[in-house]
This record gives sequence, C-alpha cells and structure tokens, in this order.
Amino acid sequence: MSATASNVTPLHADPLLKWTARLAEGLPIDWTQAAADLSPALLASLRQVAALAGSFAVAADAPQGIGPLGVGSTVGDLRIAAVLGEGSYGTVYRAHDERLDRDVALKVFKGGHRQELLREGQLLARIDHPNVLKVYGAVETDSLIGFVSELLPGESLERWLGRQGKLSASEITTIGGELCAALCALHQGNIVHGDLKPANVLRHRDGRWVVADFGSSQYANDPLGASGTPLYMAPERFTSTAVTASADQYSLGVLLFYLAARSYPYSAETVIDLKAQHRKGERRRLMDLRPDLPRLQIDAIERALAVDPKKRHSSCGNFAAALHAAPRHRVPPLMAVATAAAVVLAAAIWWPVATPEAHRTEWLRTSSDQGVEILSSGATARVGDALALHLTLTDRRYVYVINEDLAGARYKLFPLATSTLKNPLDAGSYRLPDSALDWRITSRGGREHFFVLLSDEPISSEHFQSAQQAALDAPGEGLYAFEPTRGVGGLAPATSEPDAQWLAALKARHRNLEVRRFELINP
Amino acid sequence: MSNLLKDELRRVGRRPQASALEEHIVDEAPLPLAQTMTVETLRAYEAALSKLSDDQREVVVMRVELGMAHDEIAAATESPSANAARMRVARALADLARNMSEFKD
Repeated sequence: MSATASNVTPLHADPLLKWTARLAEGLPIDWTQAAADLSPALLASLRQVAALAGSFAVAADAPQGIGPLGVGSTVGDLRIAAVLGEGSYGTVYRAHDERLDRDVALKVFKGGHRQELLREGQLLARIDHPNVLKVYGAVETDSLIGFVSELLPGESLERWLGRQGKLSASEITTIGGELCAALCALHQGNIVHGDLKPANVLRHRDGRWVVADFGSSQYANDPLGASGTPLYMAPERFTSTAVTASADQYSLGVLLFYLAARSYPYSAETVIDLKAQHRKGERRRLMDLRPDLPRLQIDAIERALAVDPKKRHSSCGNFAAALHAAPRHRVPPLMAVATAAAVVLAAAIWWPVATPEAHRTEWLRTSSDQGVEILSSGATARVGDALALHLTLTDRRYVYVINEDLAGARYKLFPLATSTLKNPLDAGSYRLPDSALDWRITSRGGREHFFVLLSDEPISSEHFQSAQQAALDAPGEGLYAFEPTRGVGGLAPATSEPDAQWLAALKARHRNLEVRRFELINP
Repeated sequence: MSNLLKDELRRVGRRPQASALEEHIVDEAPLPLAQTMTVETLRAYEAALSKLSDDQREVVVMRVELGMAHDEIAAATESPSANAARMRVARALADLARNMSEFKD
C-alpha cells in the first residue's frame, strides 16, 4: 500500500507546472506542445510570464539585449549571447553555435531580397581568404534571414583610424594591398562588395585587415538610401543599377585617398553636386594633400578614382601591383594599441568586433529612469544609481576594485566578504560585485577615482589597510560619494596623473600588476 | 543579503521601463522570437505578483527580476537544496500564470 499523502502536486499532474519548470530553468518552450496541454487563457499567461522572464533578463543585461532577438533565444543551432552592433541593414549578434560549439557572429538583415541574400550567403561561404571575413553560411526562418560568420577579435578600420596620426606610405600600401587581395578573392567568387568603407573593414588583433559587412549590395539600386555613402560610390553607380568589380575598386581608391589625406576626393554635400563634380572632374588631388607620398603610390590611388571605369586599373590585382611598385619608406613600427578605452559603445560597432585588448573592463550604471547603460564620457551620475563592473578576463587574475574619493579615503569595493565571487577569477566574463548586487551611490562627494587592479598573484591586504570595506548590508551608509554631475565630465581614463603613494608601492611590489584607472569628474 | 537590500535592488535595479519596452515593439511584422512586453503585461504581472504569498513573491522576484541562480535562491530562502528552490520557483511561476489569466478576465 502506498503511503504517500503528499500535498505536493506531482509534475505530470499539473501541465502548467511542467512548463513553468522549464521557464524556471531558462529552457525554451515548445509552444505547439504547450498549446495542446493548456487552455488558451493559461497559454496566453504562460507566454506573458515567458516574455517577462526574457525582458527582465534583457533589462539586466542591457545594453546587450537591444534588438529583435532576445539574449538567450535561439535561431536554429544558434543561441543569442549579445548584441554587437546595429546598423541600417540590421543587427549583429554574438551567438553560440550549440551544435558545433563555437562562438559566431550572426548578422540579421532588416528586410532585403530573401533569395538574393541566400544566394549571396552561399557564394560567400565558398570564399576562404585571410582578408575576407569568413562567412559560414546563411540562416533562414520564416521571419528572418541572416549570415553566420566568424567572430573576429579586433576593431574597425574606422575606429582604428581615429587613434592614428598621419599614415605613412608603407602603411597605406599594406592596408591597400590587403584590401585589394580581399576584393580579388570576392570578385573571383562572383561577388561584388558594393559598400566598401572604413566602417566595413576590420583590423584583426593579429594586424590583418579583413573586409566584412556583406549583403549590402541590395542597396546598390538606391544611391540616396539611408545607407548611402555616396562619396565612396563610383560615378557610374549613380546612373546604372549594376554594381561592378570596377566600382569596388573605385571605393577602395576613395578609402585609400581618405587614409592618406583624411579628406575625400570630392567635397560635395549633395548627390546633385557630386554628380556635377564628377562631370567636370572638379576634385581634390592627393598630390596637393600629401606631396610627401611616393609619386607611384599617388598615381596608383588616383587611377582607381577615374570617373571612366575603363581608365581605372584593369583589375584589383593590377591595383595591388601598382601600389606595391611604389617604394616603401622606412617607417617607425606601428605602435601597439594600448587601449585604455574601457568605454566601448556596442551600438557604434558595425560588424562583429570582439575585444581589442586583453582584459576588458566596462562600467555599467543602472538608474531608475535610464535602465542599464555603459558609462561613457559625459555620463551623469546621481544618488540612487547603481554601478557594476563588467569584466572579461583572458586568463586567471586576482581582481581588486578600489574607490578613492577626493579626500583620499579609499574603499575596497571588491572582493567583499559577502560576494559570491572569490579571487582568483578564472578567464571569463564576470559582473562585479556579483550577479545580483550593485554598488550603489548613496551620498554626494567631489571627485572619484576607481581602480581595477588585475594581478597574477594575490595582493596582500596590508596595501588596503586604510581602505574600508564597502558595507553591503547597509544601503544607507554611502558606499562612495560624488556630486551629481551634469554635462561636463564623466568617466574617462585618467592616465596623466601621478600614481598615489599606495598605488606606486603596490606596483613596485607586483611587477605584473595591471591597473585600470577611471575618474569621475565633477564640473 | 538583507531584505532591505533586496527591496532596494528590486526598486531601483533591473526593472524594465515601460518606455524602453515600448521601443522594443517593432512596427513591422514582429519576429516570432521577439520578446516584447507591454505596459498591460507589466500591469498584469504586478497584479498577479501581489496575489502570491510572500514566499512565492520573493522567489519570483529573485528568479525573474534579479536573475538569481537556483542555488543562490536556495541560500537566500533557506531552502534545503537548489532542487527544492527550483520546484518552488516553478510552482510560484505556475501560480503567477494562473493569477495573470484571471486578471485578464
């Protein structure tokens, strides 16, 4: 005889419970099956609860969760991990291919010609070249179409360029040569890029230049479209809908002209002006802007800019040959990119760009009216705001977060006795102080420094002797303080100031200590 | 973690804002995977949440709003195990869904 007299409903007896158990686990729901199990009213409620769970997760992870696909949702074998960027064509996500167990980028198009995009995805998947972003293929569902590609660690040429001074002849030849090679590979595969510009060229962490952002040739018919970068468009594209290999060469010519001169061959502000200038041949000459460059290099770039396609190089291969024929001056080695730029705005990214630096730190602020945002220069901060640190470690580190106020008082924000995270932290991504807590701003002050110390060995607590533990269980006690700021100021890398004594002592003792320092400035 | 802090986290922390959510609602044909939440849903949620017992409300907030893991919830609610916490969450969500369907009527 069974003696079970339980007041607990077994799973199988309550179909709703079966589905909420999956929700509790964060597992996807088979809505067809759920519809068979539940009344329409309950099904609708289950959907709402599922949406709530998803939306809260999105809100908690924002700004990663903006876009049509929620973080954690799946498309085929892909599980969406984060939004990497948004452009006029659509949204790029970081996703995990669960079948092949690898991280990929998924670019979902807004609209577009489905058959054309699918065909283009197939063609792109056949191309295997170090200077072309590897496209694995296209994914298609009833309502969306996207390209799956490799996730490239690096940054866009556009962003890279923002930190460079005048580029040397040698650098221009290197970049130009690699982009020519990329275009040759595409053209050989019967693909015309159609939208070559600095935002669509990536610099791999290993220094390689990679052409990305395909699937935009659909806009070739629309020179005035929102995506339009008319200054990069070959003159014949304003009168013909055909996008040719020669038009790509022209775009590359504009790009190299811009790299060299930091201005465009034409100065028109409207497409009508631009067409008139094309006709009259009124434009800037590279020789006027960069007379220091080798003559042969200037000629090679100018030739790609010919209004008449027949007067350009006969192919991108010939363009490359002409560039390489120019002498390469001896130039100082490229500076290693020491990015202190912890403030990376995902929305500014066009195509999958993973972290350029080794470890990555991002300060997130949660406020009652703005939700979650990455702190950037000029951000305002108020009492009631909550701060958290998103930290991505490429290898194991002992992590310490210190806050120092204007008066020199220091507070150890991490690790805390109450944190679930304990040092050392293995490679991976973390939210500090831990997944469920924030550092909260509870009072006002002047000027605040934040130090994230990344060490390969534990740091003795004596260095933090004067630091007080942030008191997590007493929200009224003021973790740290600053005046509400508005307009000027914000979080900025503060590299020019001399190290505080305690920090200097710390650095002397720990040779491999990496310090990420930020400052909140009050006007 | 003190209850005071949890309340504080919940109040100021991760609650999605109706205005931000409205922007999620696309004007074109919505994608099936799109997770949109309307003000109406939020209202129904709040009403349904208020009808739950204190214990149930607590685990729903921890799991759904704060995204806490089951073992964290178990520790915070003195549940015997993560599995027990998991079941409590599932039951609370089921009751929440039932309450929400009533709210609609």
